[in-house]
Amino acid sequence: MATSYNKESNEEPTSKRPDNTAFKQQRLPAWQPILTAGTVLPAFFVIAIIFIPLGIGLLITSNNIREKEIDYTDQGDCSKCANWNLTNGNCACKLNFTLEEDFEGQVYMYYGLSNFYQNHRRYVKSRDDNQLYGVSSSLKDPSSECAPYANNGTMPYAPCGAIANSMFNDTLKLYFQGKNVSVPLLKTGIAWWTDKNVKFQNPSPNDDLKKAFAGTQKPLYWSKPVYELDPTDLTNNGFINEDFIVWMRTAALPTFRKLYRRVNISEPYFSNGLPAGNYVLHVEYNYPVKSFNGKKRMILSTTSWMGGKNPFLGIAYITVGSVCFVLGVVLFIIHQKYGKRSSEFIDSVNQ
Amino acid sequence: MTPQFLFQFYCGFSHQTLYDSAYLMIYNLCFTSLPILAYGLLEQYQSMSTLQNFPILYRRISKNALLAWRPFIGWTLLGLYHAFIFFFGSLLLLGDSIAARYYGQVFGHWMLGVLVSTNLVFTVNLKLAFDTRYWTWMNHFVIWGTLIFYVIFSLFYGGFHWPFLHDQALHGVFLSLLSSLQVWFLVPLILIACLVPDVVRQVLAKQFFPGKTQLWVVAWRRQQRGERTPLAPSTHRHHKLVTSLAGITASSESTV
Repeated sequence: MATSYNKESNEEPTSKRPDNTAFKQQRLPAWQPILTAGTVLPAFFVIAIIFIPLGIGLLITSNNIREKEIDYTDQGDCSKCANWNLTNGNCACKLNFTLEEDFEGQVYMYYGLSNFYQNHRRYVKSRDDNQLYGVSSSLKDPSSECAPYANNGTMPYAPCGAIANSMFNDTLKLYFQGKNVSVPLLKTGIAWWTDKNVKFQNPSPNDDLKKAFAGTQKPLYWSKPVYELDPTDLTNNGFINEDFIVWMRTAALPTFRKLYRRVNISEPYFSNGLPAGNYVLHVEYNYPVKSFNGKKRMILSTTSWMGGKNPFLGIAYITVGSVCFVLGVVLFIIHQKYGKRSSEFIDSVNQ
Repeated sequence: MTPQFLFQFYCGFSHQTLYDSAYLMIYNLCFTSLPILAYGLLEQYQSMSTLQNFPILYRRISKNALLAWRPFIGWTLLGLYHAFIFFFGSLLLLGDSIAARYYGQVFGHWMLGVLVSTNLVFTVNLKLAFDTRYWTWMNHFVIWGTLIFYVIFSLFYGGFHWPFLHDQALHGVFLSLLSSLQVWFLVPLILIACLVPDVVRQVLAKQFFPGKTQLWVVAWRRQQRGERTPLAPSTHRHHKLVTSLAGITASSESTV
């Protein structure tokens, strides 16, 4: 426009035309795929052919996993402990159960809780990861997220927070009646490797934990301080105690299970897992769940290459594979009947 | 956001977030912004030659006619369907905190969140990939680049103990997801379950519901070839065009 003319310099008016590059003129080289029935049909059949056998395989694998669940909140002998007032001392109970089949391979023992909302917002926030990492300034002065379980007015709690405070403290033991022997259980190897070796560290000095935790006190609901969680094994004591680490990894749902022990398969009688037969579960019942209508249970499970017993993946694969197959057949029929008539329409796109 | 909403039913309505806050922030910034930006800049629904030959096609987009309620509701419902599949797919995989791996360890709460958001990022980007019809090198770069960036970011964020963050919630979470075979099986399954309806819709639409664009192009071409058809009509005569084209197609087939 003339108004933008610089009258003094006699130049041509500045052009607003964009540069003649491939990008600005939208002439970039491109691949233009066309999604027609002809390209999609083989894909659907291939998906169906892959997914359905895969789903069947996953389902069979899952069905081969053995699992046994024993609810011990208030069954049988343990009903006396369900209403026990813990200030009167400890309560122990026994439950008999039977394994109908051999549990072959490595057997894992879990404890399960119901109606326990480890995923509640205030609960999940209530921890101090720096304290658990061994930072000594956080040890003596935990973060405010832990309140009201940060300190008792004078001394800080180690570990602080509601998650640590509510740690599961029942002791479960198994006794095999067939050979009159207690099942050997391992308490290590149950936490995620990154948790045990990186995320959780004891404060220095590592070899004298009582000194390291001096100036702090045990959480409110605990019966012994954190450096006595496993006095026999220095790599499993203090913050790096695996039961503690497993508990601190908050569960996603209100009904959950956590890995508790592994059967020691290097011992005699149990080198092939747990044989079928009668067993007795010995419980030191310390964890009160009645106040929130919770339930406690013990679960024994084998695993497979894909984890625990969960038929969902197998069923889902079979379902999606079948749906793809049905869709493929339907599209094939449509393509055969109406394909030629509409090829003109298809070609009109992206000519 | 729907998975967050659905999760509230499972956490006692305590506003506990499914995703870590860093993921939430970066989601809108990085994981989904660049691909859609490239799509908006570079997508060519009809090629330039088509548009130059049939300028009447520009009338279709006058007054924002294509931003109508029906497609919008359709896309929203599709998005809801995706959200349900991500969330319940991941939730059912978790089950009763079934063991995630051969060594018996179980998943936790943040693992569920990262699993859902992984499904989300991959599905959203792949859906955009299916809708893109004009693939320049930039499209490839932003779409595959976003996916790769997501993986690298997750590994980085969860791989180190960041001293300036007081909350190391995601430490080791992505790695533990990667070490679980079940997750590797679940993610492709969810991707395919989410994208199949979209692909089917696209294919069927081309066969049965050719858009006005295609109808006009076909009509114009036929006119050029000297067949007796009406000119590319205005919107009022769309119905007439369809029936007349059907008639012409039938008659041309019978003459061949």
